[in-house]
Amino acid sequence: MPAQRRRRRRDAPAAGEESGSNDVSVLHHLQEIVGSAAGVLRLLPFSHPPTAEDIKAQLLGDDLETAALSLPDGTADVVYLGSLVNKKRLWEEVLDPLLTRTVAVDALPGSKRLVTMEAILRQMLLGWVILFPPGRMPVGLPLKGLQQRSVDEPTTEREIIGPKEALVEDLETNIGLVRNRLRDPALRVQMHIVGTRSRTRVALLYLDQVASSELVARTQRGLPTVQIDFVRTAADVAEVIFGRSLTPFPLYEETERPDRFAAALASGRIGLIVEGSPFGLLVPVTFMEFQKDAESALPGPIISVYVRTLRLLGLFLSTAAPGLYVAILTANPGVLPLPLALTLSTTRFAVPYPVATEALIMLLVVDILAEATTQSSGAIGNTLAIVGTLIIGQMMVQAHLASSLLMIIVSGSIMGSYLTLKFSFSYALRIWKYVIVLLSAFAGLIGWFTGFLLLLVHLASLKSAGVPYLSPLGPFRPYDLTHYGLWQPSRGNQRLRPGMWRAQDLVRQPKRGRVR
Amino acid sequence: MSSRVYRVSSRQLWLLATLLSVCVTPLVLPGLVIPLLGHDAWATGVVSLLGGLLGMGFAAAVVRQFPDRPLGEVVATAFGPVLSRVYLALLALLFTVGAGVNLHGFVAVVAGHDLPLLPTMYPALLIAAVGTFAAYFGPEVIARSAEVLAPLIILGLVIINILAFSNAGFGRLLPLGIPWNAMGSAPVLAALGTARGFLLVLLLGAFAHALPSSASLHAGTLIAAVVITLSCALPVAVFGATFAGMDRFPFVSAVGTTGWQWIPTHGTVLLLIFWHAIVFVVFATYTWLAAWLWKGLLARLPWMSLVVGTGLCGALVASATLSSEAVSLLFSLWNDAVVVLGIAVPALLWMRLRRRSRYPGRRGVEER
Repeated sequence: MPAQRRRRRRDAPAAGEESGSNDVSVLHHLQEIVGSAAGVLRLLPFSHPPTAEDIKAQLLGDDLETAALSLPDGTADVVYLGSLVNKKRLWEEVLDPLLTRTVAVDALPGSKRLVTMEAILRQMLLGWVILFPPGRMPVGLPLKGLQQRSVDEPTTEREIIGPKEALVEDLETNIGLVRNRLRDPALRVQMHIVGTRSRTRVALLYLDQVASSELVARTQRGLPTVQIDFVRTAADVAEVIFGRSLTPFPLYEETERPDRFAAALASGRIGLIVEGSPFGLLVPVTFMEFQKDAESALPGPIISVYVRTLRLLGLFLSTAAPGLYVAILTANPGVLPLPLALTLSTTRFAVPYPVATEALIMLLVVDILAEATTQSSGAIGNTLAIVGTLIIGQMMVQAHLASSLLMIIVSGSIMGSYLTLKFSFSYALRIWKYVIVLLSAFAGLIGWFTGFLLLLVHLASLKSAGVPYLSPLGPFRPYDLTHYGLWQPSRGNQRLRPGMWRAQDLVRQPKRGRVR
Repeated sequence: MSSRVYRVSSRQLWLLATLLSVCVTPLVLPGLVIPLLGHDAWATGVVSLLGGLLGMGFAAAVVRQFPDRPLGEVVATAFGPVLSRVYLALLALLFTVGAGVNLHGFVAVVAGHDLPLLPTMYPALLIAAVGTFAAYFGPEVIARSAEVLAPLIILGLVIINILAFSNAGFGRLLPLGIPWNAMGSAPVLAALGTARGFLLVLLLGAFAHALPSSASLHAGTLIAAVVITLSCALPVAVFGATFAGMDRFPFVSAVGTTGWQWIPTHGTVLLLIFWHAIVFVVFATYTWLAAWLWKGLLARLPWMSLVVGTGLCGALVASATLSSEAVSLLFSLWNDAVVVLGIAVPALLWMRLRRRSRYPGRRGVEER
């Protein structure tokens, strides 16, 4: 019963919007509704239907434009925000037909009656035009005309063979891109308005009867309770709903790929898309999910094993290699054969400070360069890369401020961190390598391994929307692990969804993926 | 007991129980047992197995009789509030000592073999820090970490034993008629106490989603017993009883005799990393159990969390600086205590509760 009630409430029109007739006799009832929402916006206390003058008093901006239309039954005011409205469409679809008497006000396409000041202001801020016909309730027309970026290639999650579409800043376009890949009637899209000042639209997407009902209910409960003034990305919202942990590792997956977003929904996760952000957010997420890529499975199993092995090697290089260098040269040179140990010692013969100091300095320098190159675009980024690699690196080695071997290791570490598919995740790896280097300097290989144990405990203590971050390694789920292994079963044999997402419907497809 | 509810899966409980049974015993126990039992040192594994089977049996029976009831409540039901508190206090002390002793045992091996230039305190502090960090989060996090480390630990155990096999002469293991009255000695009791996973079953059983089956619990004991038998037998097979008895860490020395020269020259420290993983899991579990028991016992006193935390940390840091003789003594005492508190008391508990079938909370008996 409560679920039915919730659904009924969800399906009902928002306060101030009228789905059917324009009867002024319901005004008393509507005033009650407006009264309950008065805390959201500063409203005029009115005892009459809102007028254009009321709006002018509320929206004191130079981009507020008005017009007066001469209609057969009197003069109708038109009010809109010029910065948000497509004026060409306004003329072609509204003004011209009304002036030439080819269309009546009630027959304008997409028109919706708005009876409260709150609803009118809300729709105007979304780029609607408000028409005040004489003697009747105001009518809103969706004529948003803000220039939007067209659908383009992904910039942070590029794939060679995969689709070349990325999410954009427009919410409807993004939802359309997802729907285009997941043409399932069970795909639910629920709009919420979050942000007391920004009043940003946030869409919750999930597959009904598939996604965890507990997670969906938690998100549905949480979204209306978010009380922040400005929403910039979906992470702002997720942080409030699911909580925040003191960790460098991302607890939500942000993606700009609609195919990845749709695939995640199909596997039983839920997604949030925020208006104005070209990244969708997926929860829950696990450590292993960040190692998964869609593309490496495309050319065939052998190549996919090779690519995934490279990625794992990159993961090891980015976190372990600098620490291993420090551990061996500081406390455990005995683990190396004598000729190799002598060669290593020769490379840093003239370096004037200890190994750990040398490593920390070089890691910091290279991280600064990497950050500067990443943040800069085009020619500046290329110049920085050249300056960093050719000039600073070479000069430091020639000036005996760093050993050539360490330069190789540090460069490999940075390259390895970028083999990880997600940008935010690579930051976590880059931060953690400092911890491991410090511990290695403290106690050699024992310290190096302690650094990994510390990382393990930290990851084991994390949860993303209630799902252990280390799943399916710990808690160990053998079937789920097959989705993340080097050798993955064919898509036809992936009959079940990973259990760790707690999907309601675990069966993804019939056995062997074909109808018999 | 602490009011926070922990939940571990039956697989995680089994894994922790097995790892606690294996522990650092193969590193430390042969040095204690071989000088006294000589060729018959391998029998410690058999004694461990018998003790483990017995302990696991009693522990599982008690937990199955009172599902979802913490040990404190069960003991209080059977023995009354005073005796139960004494028992829990002794258990808490046992785990506090156990954490320190195991830490010191591993660090002594590391310092003696591979990091002679490094102060002993450094690795001890690191393991104590990361173990306490895990203990802070509770058994769920420890169990998840153990699951991730399990393949590494298994690989390490297999490699170490294979390496030690390479120079073994099994003719040296033939018994030479040493009288078995040595079975009453402290090292044999120590061996009996090495199968101590049952204590974990007894304490954490109430918090498991389901108790592991008896067969898997006994299989865990068997694994531990096999590891202990090999660790005691292989040094004798490699060096002979007399020479092995003179070494403080004969098993590590036996690994060093492998024909693959890179291992004894360069790689023993890499092998010790496997033990590092085991020590971490055991240390974290002991520390959490000790802290949990202490907090449960002293929860009504003000500032108890602070007192328990400070006291435990002090004890653990102090344990890292103890002398080897003191640690050997503590190791023996600790194992004797495990035998008494881990087998005898649960056996008494089981017998007492078995006769009186009307205890509230018992399976099939309704709450009054």
